[in-house]
Amino acid sequence: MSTNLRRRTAIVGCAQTEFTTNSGQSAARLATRATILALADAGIGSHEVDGIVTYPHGPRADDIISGLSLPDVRFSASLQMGGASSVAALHLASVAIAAGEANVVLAFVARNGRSEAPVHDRAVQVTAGSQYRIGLEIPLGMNVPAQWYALLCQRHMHEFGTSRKALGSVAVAMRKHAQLNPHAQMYGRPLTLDEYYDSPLVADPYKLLDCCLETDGASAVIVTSIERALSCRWPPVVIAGVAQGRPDSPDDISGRQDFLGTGLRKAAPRAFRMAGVTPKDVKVAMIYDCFTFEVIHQLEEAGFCPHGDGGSFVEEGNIELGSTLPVNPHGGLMSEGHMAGMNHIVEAVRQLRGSCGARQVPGADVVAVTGWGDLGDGAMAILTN
Amino acid sequence: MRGDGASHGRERPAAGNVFGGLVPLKVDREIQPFWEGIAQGQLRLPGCQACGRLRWPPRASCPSCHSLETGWTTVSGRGRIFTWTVIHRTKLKEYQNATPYAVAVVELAECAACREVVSPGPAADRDLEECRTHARRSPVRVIGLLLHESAGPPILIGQPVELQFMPQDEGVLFPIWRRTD
Repeated sequence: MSTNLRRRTAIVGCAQTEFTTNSGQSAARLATRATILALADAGIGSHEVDGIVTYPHGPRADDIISGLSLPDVRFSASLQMGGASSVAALHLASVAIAAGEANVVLAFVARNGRSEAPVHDRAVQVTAGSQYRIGLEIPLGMNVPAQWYALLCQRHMHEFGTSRKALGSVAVAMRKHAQLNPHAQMYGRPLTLDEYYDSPLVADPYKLLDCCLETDGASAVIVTSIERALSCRWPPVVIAGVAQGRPDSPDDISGRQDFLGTGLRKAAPRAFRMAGVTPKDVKVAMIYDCFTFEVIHQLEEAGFCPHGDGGSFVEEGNIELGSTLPVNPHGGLMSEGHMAGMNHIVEAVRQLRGSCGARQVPGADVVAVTGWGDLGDGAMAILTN
Repeated sequence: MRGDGASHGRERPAAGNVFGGLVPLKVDREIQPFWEGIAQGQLRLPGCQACGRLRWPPRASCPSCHSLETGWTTVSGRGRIFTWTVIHRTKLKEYQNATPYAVAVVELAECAACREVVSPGPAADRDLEECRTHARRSPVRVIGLLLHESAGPPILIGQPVELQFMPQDEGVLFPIWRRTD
């Protein structure tokens, strides 16, 4: 396995717009704002941006290039990995920079996910196997991720005894973390386990409070070579390891041989090996929390705990700030906002800079970030300072 | 029972549990033969004509031997619940009046490799059976609607099911699984 990418690149700038339920702005405006702020954060002029990686849904590279008169973007790409595309963008950016095909790469997510493009309109369009959703599942009443992943959760509960209390523990932990994050949409709105149990069912066992938010906003990061990073505003956040992976049959869940196998199970070992660290070295885990169960699932798939133990791991409080493995100190997609995991990368960078204030994990020197895309595509980045 | 596949449903949906799901008019060419089979009250699956393996969902090539030669075959319409959910909220207009409704992933009784139909064992044994020739490591699973009432018996993984065909408007048949134990 090649370690050509190990510690070749760094994240030097990050920024987010406010996260709301109705931005009143176009997605392109949100993207441009986040880009300008991220470049200012890095101390890099816009004219230096020569690479752009976009999210499969939303503004394109050409929208940013035109809006900011970027003189020469010589590398661009977009992934088709759903929510895993944000972390996988770090992989693409690193490949381009290591090959000398770009020096300053912008990666961003921008959308009006609540007010204009909610999941039931967009999920089927951007997912592989859309012909199966349209031709086989929608006629039979299935059309959104909550329903797809409720099937996984139900099976996991059957095989391993994962409890509803475990799911609720994740919801409560994410909401608790958001109380320390003024940027979070759920800031000022704490949640108890009883309130979680009272929330209505959406797709059994998923309740409304098992599902992440839908958000209007944008998040952006700037990736450069290690050399270029040394003259930016902040100490570099090094991309020590990064990888992507897919489940067997990424376009369909029903026939998947290993029903609970995901792309993260393949991507995580690659990322850890590239970085030269193990799960035990990770001080903060940014887990793509589209649903509560997916935190439990990915903790297992990434090797933070044995398969089947994820439920008890979270029930025992291990993912809370101050505990064994803090997960999503910013509140995650569940409680900060749903910016397809680009906001998890932003939080990871800030934790490694030591700039998270009340929610700072002391001594955060190795942070893992996962990505999850429909229907189980995975990615992982290991970031260090 | 092979031959004519699953029995034609004679049951009417229970009051308050009407499925307005529509048989799609135009689908991907790989999927079309499935709905043609449903229209005739049969569950048909694509099978590889080179190695014989059944597959689902319909794909152009055999994932096992890569052959593009595909033949559709009628299967028994029996299986077991592999996993399930009950949907309480939906934005699909055809299903607005149907909530809560159940959807299951059904593991078919056929072995994907040799197509032997394996009968479910005693109710107490919810684990899946092996066929005489192969360890059933490559099951064929399909997603479908499951007849279920909130006040009725709970849905359990492993329960045996059989595919029924509900007549909808104009007699168009619609597939729905029914528990048989």
